[in-house]
Amino acid sequence: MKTLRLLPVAMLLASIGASAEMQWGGYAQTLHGGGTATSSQRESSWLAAQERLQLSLSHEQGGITALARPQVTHQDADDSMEWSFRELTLAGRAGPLDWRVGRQIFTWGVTDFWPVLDVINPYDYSIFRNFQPDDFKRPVTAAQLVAYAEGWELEAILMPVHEGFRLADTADDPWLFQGMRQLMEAGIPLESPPVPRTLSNAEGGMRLGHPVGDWSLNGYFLYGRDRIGQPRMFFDKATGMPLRVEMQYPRQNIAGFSAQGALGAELLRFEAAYYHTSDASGEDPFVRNRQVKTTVGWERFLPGDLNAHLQYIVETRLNQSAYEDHWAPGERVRPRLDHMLTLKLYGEYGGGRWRPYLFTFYRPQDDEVMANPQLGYWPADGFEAALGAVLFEGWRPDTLVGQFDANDYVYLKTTYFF
Amino acid sequence: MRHLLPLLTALMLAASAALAAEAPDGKAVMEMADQAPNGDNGRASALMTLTAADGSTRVREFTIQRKDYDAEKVSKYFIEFSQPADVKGTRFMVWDHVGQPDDRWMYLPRLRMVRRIAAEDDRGAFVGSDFTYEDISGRDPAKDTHTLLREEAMDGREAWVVESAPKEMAGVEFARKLSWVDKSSHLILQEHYFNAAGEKIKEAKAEKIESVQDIATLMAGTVKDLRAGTSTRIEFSNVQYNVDGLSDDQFTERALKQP
Repeated sequence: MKTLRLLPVAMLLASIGASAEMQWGGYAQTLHGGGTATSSQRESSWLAAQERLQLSLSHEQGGITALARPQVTHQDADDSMEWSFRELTLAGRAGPLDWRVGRQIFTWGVTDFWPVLDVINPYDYSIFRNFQPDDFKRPVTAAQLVAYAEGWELEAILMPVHEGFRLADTADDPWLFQGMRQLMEAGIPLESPPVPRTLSNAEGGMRLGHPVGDWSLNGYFLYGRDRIGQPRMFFDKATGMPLRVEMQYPRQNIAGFSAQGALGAELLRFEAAYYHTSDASGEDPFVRNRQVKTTVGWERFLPGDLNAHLQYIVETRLNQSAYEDHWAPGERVRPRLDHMLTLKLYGEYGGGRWRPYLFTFYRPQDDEVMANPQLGYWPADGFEAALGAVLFEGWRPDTLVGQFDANDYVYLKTTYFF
Repeated sequence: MRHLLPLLTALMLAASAALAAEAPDGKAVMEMADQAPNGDNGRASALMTLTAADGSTRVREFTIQRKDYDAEKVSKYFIEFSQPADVKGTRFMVWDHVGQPDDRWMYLPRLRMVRRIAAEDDRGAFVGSDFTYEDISGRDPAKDTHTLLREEAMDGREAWVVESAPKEMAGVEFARKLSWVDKSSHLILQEHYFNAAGEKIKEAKAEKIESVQDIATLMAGTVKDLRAGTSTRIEFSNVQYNVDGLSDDQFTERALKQP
């Protein structure tokens, strides 16, 4: 069976390799990072290093483009190698229709960082390290069809297999979530059975877009499942003690809207989405409640060629009282309104030689801040050396950023593009 | 003598009228330069060499497509980079509106993402070079006041020399500039930029002009930032005008995702 799965890959690579017109490129990268303080979670400072090679091979023949982006990553800590495909697709065009099938990346919505509508690809939360920005998004196996007519754009996506977020899952991983760590320390086994591969578990999405004046407007609908996963606890009926925890991915459908346009030199972005879950009453502590998520973004160039992008994000829980009455043990009760701010600053100076970057995330109700300052130095075309830090500041050990309060780290990243 | 005076007067009037016909005012010259023939659309390959103050060089290689929509007062540009490797496959689309801020989009291939991007100031650097966005799309003559200073030969071509000063200084790094405009092709042969103190801060020079499809075409030129000590040379190749099949669809978000 595994051989059969590899067959299309081998055929694709063979067809690409046989072509003298193959387009190719890629990058090689090293990254070394280290904690600046003793981690409260790991009881020791840590050092991480990895090397990676990613290739991009594409070939077009008869109107069909084959693309492969294989990647191999070596982790120094345990001397492990991991192979994957960032993308492996066939794509083509037939009149007003564009299509693409295979392992692929999608970007829905118009905002950054906190996914409101960018919900097709699962995220990788097992890393909070600054590699390539696209690393956080994991590819999915999908078929995409986009139809264009009279300025309208209709996109349909079919994903036959559910793929969830990737989370740290070992006790010595500094990026293990606090809740998971507590379970492990209590000796409660955590199970993550995959969603069965049946037709009824397939997922799909639709997007309809049209420009109105200077603005790009899109509507979205996703028939899918919770990608992050929800830990459901099972108890011994006799003793009431927890027996095991199972990661589940309940049904979650999303309907949303985005708008993006310019007002003079100001670029404005807006997203809103309704998350409908199977727990309509809000009484199941192990299923996320219905929510409305909204992001408003503002971007412009400041004096000095500095690009600034500010976002305000708010998540609204629709059945807060039921949620508060039935919240999961060990979980911190979230407020009805969850406010967040992000700010990104970026510039290029000295003919692109110096590229400072700053990203910050702030959640006032949790008193937490994350910041990622980085200075990129490009001494020559295609070569970057970047020195940066990821800083966590939070006062509570059970909040998103607060749990990593002692995990500040600095890193040096070198990348050679070819 | 009585008969000569009217004749002399008539000759003088005729001569001054002829001179007036041959020497338009500065505004008319710059409008002619702005409207120099370049077809309804065009396509070219471009090689940009950026030279730093220390002499080190970087290369930007891209294809550029343009289509003018006169009725809508917009020129649309589609740019795809092939070098350097870190931006290979990155595509830009610019809708350059007359008298309004540009609309700009960027396609990031690794994220399969089309992003609307903020319009930098028109005097901002084009892809980190010494060219500004206005150098690529052309500065609207209505933004400046113009004075025809003189006529002189330059590199074997007869040229008008026009002094221009911005009407609005906000966001503009120069206080005045001199432009040498070729009388026959209306191409700008050279420009010198000066700051408020009268110091020359930037110069641009056309180095190679060729006729392509009977249209005088800038094939190579250099811009120097005299304060920073940097320069950028651009060379065009495979220039085509009025390209068949360069449809409206080539200047859409669809083309950014899948040209």
